[in-house]
Amino acid sequence: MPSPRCLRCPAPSSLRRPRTGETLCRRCFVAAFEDEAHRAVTAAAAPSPSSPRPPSAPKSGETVAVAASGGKDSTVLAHLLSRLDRRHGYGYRLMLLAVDEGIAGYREASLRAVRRGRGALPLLVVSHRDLFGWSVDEVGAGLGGGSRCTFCGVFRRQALERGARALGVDWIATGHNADDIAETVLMNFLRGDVARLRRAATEATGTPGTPAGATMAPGEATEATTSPAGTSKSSGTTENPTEATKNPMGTTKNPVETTRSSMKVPVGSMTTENPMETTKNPMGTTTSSVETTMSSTKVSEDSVTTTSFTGTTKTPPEAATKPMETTTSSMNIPGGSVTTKNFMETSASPMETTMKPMETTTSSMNIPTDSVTTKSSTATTKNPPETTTSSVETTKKIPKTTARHPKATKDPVANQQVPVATPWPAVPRCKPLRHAYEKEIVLYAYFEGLDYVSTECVYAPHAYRGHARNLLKDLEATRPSTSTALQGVCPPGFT
Amino acid sequence: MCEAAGDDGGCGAGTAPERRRRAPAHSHPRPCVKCGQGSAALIIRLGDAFCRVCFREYFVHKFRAMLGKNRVIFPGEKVLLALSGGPASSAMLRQVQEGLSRETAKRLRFIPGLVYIDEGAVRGQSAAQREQSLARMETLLQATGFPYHLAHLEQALELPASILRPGPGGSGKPSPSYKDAVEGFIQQQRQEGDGDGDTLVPGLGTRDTPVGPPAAPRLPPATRTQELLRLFEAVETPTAREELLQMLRTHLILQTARTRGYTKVMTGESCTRVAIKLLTNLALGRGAFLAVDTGFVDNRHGDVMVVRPMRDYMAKEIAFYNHFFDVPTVIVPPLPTKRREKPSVHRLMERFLLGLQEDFPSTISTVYRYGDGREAEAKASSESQRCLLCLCALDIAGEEELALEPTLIMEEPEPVGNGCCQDTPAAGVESRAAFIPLLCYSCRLTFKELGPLATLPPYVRAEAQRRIRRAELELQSQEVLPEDEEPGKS
Repeated sequence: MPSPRCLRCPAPSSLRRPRTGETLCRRCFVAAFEDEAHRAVTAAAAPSPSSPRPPSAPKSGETVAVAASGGKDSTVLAHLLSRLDRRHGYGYRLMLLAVDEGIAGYREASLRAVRRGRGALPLLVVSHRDLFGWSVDEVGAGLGGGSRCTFCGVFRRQALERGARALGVDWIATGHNADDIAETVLMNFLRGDVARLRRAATEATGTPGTPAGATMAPGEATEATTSPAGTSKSSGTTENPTEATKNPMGTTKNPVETTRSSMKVPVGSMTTENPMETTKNPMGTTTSSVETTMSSTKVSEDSVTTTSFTGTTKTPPEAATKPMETTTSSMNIPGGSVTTKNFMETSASPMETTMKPMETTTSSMNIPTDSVTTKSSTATTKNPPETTTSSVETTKKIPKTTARHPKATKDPVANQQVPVATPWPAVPRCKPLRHAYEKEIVLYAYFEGLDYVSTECVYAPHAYRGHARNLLKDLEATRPSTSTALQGVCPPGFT
Repeated sequence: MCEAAGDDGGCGAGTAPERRRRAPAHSHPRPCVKCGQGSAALIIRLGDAFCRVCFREYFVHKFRAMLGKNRVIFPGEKVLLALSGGPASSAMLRQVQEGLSRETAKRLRFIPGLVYIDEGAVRGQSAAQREQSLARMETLLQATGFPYHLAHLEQALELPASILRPGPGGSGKPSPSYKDAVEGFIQQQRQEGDGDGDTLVPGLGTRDTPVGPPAAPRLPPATRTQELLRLFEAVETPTAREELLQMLRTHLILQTARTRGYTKVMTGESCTRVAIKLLTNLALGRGAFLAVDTGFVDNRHGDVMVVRPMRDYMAKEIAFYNHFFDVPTVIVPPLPTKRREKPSVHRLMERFLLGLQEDFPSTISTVYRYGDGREAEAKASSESQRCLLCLCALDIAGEEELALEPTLIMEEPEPVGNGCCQDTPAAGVESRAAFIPLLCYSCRLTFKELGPLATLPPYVRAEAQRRIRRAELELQSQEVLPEDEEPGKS
């Protein structure tokens, strides 16, 4: 039987779209796919009269970091956005942001693909090693045989956030497709996670939502997700002094950040944006997450989840005066065998290893101590090491406890310099591909000859998400519209 | 049904010897956690061992608590119990019987009636098999002494179009408070003297539908059966077939309730079933209606309220109850799928959830608890804002254009001369695309798979025509109205 004609032109069709059931030829499919992506972006950017949502896509002139993993979704997204930007004149300033979690056998290849396929776009690679001081592989040993995706996802989002801050971008665009969002809905439903389901529902429509909410892409919505964001938010809003005291710590660490960005990013693009802001922004989060790690070690003692965060906001007095004391003390508490909440279960063990990062973060401060007071611009020029990741790491580890104490004296000074910090709102995220079916993304990538890797993360088979994923695949085989139907879920009381 | 079968097998053969094997040290049976005296007969929830007596008490109490907590069934009200013959609805029937019997200290005070829908035609039963299961069901119904009604799925083809409209009153009018109603009822009973046996009397007297001998219930004419089968065969996917069956069944039960003056319908969805339904509906795009579809109260029909009193029972509890206390059930086969790998979304979800339940034993209760307490009524004001098929409030308004696209009908099927032999109401005007605006998100997807219009049940088409015409009229009058209104305003 000859293949049926394309519905839009006389050419023979080459596929039947899962989304609509249309038979289209290659060219018409590519056109239709791009048109839909364009509509998804513009519809989200324009405040719709029916819903009072804030616009959920970047405006003209804004900087957008595409979270690039090297996989099909992000590759297609970067390709689409730059093409549509040229075609329709969005006026975006696009760049790529990649995270290296340090998963051997998975990430290297995908990062190579990102570098190969980045074209003219600036690229920043942030690594867990630099940001947190460990790689997922290292921490994984402490997690035992269970899933580490929960924990990995949380920190990846944090890494993205920090990378975005370092770049000074206005938006993060992620490649979540319709299937991903549907999966998340299913998974959260199976776990009875109403709060996160609500967020997935609003995020499915592309709303930035609250700062805390927006930080969590449903892509890997996991048990622990709320905690880091929650902390950074609560500590920011409730007690400004906390912020202020944290900043110095951050500022010291600052150069490391900027060094990293100077590695691959055409420096001009980011530093010119708002030099003060950019350099300080990452700090806020950096330290707050240090706080987070501290607090969660505390939690392991108290075995309380929610209260711990208020606890964190209250402890700062201690932390403010003798920040190093707190870190050391928390180091004394070895992750503990806590089995209170799901989050604890996963995070308790990482804490053991997180102790190391704390050391590194703090110790890293004294390497460029002098540059603390200088602004980031100088910092960037001062630290041009190309392969800082490893070299700085190694040097960092040498000075340990001894090096820390001087820091404590310096901090108050820095403290005064920094004005009362306002809570940093999370960098808003958008998902231009949220209506695109996974299959169609693959087809598009194939037709466009895009270069991407399709290796699965070595840890993926352990993820709970796998259940939801398999189910969704079955459902789609039965009825292709399922993923959209799931995405449209918005049960009463959710909006 | 399927989950019960598994449990039944488990209770007889699997679990008992295994437990013995696992704990040889104390081979004597565990004492009941409740009374501490009787030896445990089964373990429910998370390892709670109950003896038979306590289990029975627990089971009965749960039912009464469910009704007592929700306070929607008023004394003296006529309540129609929808029975499928399966474990859950049979256990429900037993609960009502227990509740109405004299021994119970606090008697249930509503007047029950029973309805059974014979779906044998679409479930692949032969005429002989249908007769057989009908007869079995009828003896079962007769034994209760309650009035009962038998209907065949074929009768759905003769339903009036009004079944697709919410009934008058019901949700709108403020009903008297439950307490007042109960007191009024008690007063009334006192006046009538010893009204104790009163409620049961009408039940014993009237036997509605079948006048003939119960041994030979008549099947509907073969032409009707053929017509029904054509309808089901035209449906393109098993998912849509399940949905269609559910819809026809609901409408038939509703029609029975309306014509016989029942104001409440009780259905026997268990907790397991509710969890499966929650997930299924989620996947079908019915996320907005989860509360209506699975909550205790379903008030979408207006005059007749559907309640689900069994939604607190796990399928396992029900299976054990039926097994211990000899609750008779009649098993009918499910919809035939003819293939294994791509079954309906319903079947897929059932399989998935029951499978996951094995590895993660709290799955079902977690999912179920999600749906619990989320009882919001459909907030549709006018009829035009309700879905034609499921009568839920249309959920299309807030959706993004791109999300809706898959629900639209892309290619209009070329006007073949289908349905020429039938008297289609206003033939020619009818097009499948015209139906779409009348439907909710999920029913759009289902409708797309329902096959040609010609085979749709007549009442659906008639009502759709009515709504389309009315929408057209409204559109015309809106064009006229502004001119009329303006002088009045100024």
